[in-house]
Amino acid sequence: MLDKLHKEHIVAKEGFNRWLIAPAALGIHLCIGSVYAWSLFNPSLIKRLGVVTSAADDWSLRSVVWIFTVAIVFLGLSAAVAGKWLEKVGPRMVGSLAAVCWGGGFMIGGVGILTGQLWLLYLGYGVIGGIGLGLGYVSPVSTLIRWFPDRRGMATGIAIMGFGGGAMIAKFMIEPFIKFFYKAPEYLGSVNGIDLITDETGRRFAEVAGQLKEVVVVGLNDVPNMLVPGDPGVYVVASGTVGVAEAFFTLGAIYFVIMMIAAFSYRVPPEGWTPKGWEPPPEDKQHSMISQHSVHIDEALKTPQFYQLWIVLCFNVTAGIGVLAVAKTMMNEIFGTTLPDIVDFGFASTYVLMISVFNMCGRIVWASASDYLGRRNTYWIFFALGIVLYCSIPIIAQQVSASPSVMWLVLFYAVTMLIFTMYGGGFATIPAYLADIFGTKYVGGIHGRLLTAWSSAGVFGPLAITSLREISVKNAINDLVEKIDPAQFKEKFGAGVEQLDQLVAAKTVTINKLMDIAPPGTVDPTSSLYNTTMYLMAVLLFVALVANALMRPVNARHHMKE
Amino acid sequence: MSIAFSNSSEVFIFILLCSVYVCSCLWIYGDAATRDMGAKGAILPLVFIIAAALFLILGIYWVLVVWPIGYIAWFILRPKSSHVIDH
Repeated sequence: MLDKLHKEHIVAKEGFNRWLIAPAALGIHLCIGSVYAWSLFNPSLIKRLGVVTSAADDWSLRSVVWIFTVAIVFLGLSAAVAGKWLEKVGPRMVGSLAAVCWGGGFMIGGVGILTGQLWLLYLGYGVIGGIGLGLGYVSPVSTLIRWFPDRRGMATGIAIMGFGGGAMIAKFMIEPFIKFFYKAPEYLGSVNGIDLITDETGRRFAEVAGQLKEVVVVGLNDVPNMLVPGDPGVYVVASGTVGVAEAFFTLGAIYFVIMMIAAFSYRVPPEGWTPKGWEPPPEDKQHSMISQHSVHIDEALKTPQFYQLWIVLCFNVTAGIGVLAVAKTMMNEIFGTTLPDIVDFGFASTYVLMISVFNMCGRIVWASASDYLGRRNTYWIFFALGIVLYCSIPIIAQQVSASPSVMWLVLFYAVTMLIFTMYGGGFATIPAYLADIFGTKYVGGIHGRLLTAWSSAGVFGPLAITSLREISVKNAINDLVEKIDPAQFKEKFGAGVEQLDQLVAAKTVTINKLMDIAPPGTVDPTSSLYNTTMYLMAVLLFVALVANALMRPVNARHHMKE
Repeated sequence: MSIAFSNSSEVFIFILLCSVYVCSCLWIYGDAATRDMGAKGAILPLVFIIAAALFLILGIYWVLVVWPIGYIAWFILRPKSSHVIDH
């Protein structure tokens, strides 16, 4: 049975339409791309027992947000390890296993949610699901490149565009499924009409039919945060269902079926196949970056070109994550306060949606453009333009704080959207770049190993952002405190400046609170909090630019014998 | 994650060093493959990855000493002949 999945059994017959491979690849990437929608599960996961609000035994947000990072790390690791196997067994076997892992990961995660075992959720979604992500991500790449030697960039761009758009589609499934399976907990009445008992651990209980049952209290301020709107009052813990486990099972089944259909649609071209009328470009000076020779997957690790491309991908992704993480906050914190009539909740939500749209469009547009511009030139544009754009963000933020104007908002919008297209474009163009440099024979496996750059960026990006923000906030607070009269400080916060560190740690002292007592004319430092992040990202892009500029064809001694 | 930085230069240097570390793991794996070490070639990169995980998650700094020691040991003990993989 498994033998039927092997690449020798999926060689396309004469006259096969190569365009049928693209939707299959897109289908797999749309399914696994839903990983970017992980944050939609968080509000439900932290109310697993309480349902309407978090109960004492519910998981904390801190404990569930790392599941996404685990999945991305395992994406890179599995892609790196399975790349060689992919070249041996072909895309259908790998795609099928990806379906089992991704769908199965959801199932195991669902069991973890039902039974309250967080480790099962980590194992299911994070580890097994992450392995499915890696296998699914690399499975169509080399096949597409072999089917479309004339349009490598466009072909891989179509597939990888799916990964960028998966979250958008998942959003329209996850939220309705959770609401469909949601069952409100038992409502006991308003808080004034119930005798509540609080034990020594802080849990609250109420007497129901002669029995003490744990309850949660929903206040007026909690109502907007309820998954499904309800009345404020007292609810019995674990008497309803938040619907997320059932949503996991349903999504797992849907993804499994779609991915299996897609995997079974894969066909590989016969050995030596080329599109009618297409001739490989000659290895002259003009096409010197497109090699007609192949490099073995292990041999590629001994070439400087592999590490140059690793730097190119890693730093492009790190910079992208950097601006992705702060763009929404900047929009709210800076433009929401300076242009409140325009930047309201609806505007901010549309902005977030447009991030996904531009990220997705950038994948197909830039990857297709690279077929004409050349891969190295495309990355030249990403990095040279990227440096200018990243450095312009602090200037725009400063200008809008000094003189609020719609022009700065439009400029910020345009700059960040262009950055998001290049973030997506960097992902989508790299397989074609690899095929140009290392040949097409092992490109899937080499691409898998290069994805360790993505896993690394998944650690560097958030680490850099949180560290740089902490440093900026600390410096801004220190600067403000120096300008404030110590007596006024003590009066406002009930403690002296010498206790500043403790007051900041307890969130008693914040920039906003210090601005209340700052001397007139003091500039609010909020708009400059992200300057160092943007400048660091620009420096990383410069390093990537140098790595890309130094790209040369692989030395002939690494080539495989024909 | 238990690493604290005091300025952006430290963050930049940290990212560069981490990149070198990850690339060095990949390089040693490829070097082992060109010396026909098979699965044994994965042992040292695996040790490096475990050391990095211990450092990043638990903040155990001293485990990173396996990296220079491992590299020196690798250059001394690795099989002498290597070849281009072309099959």
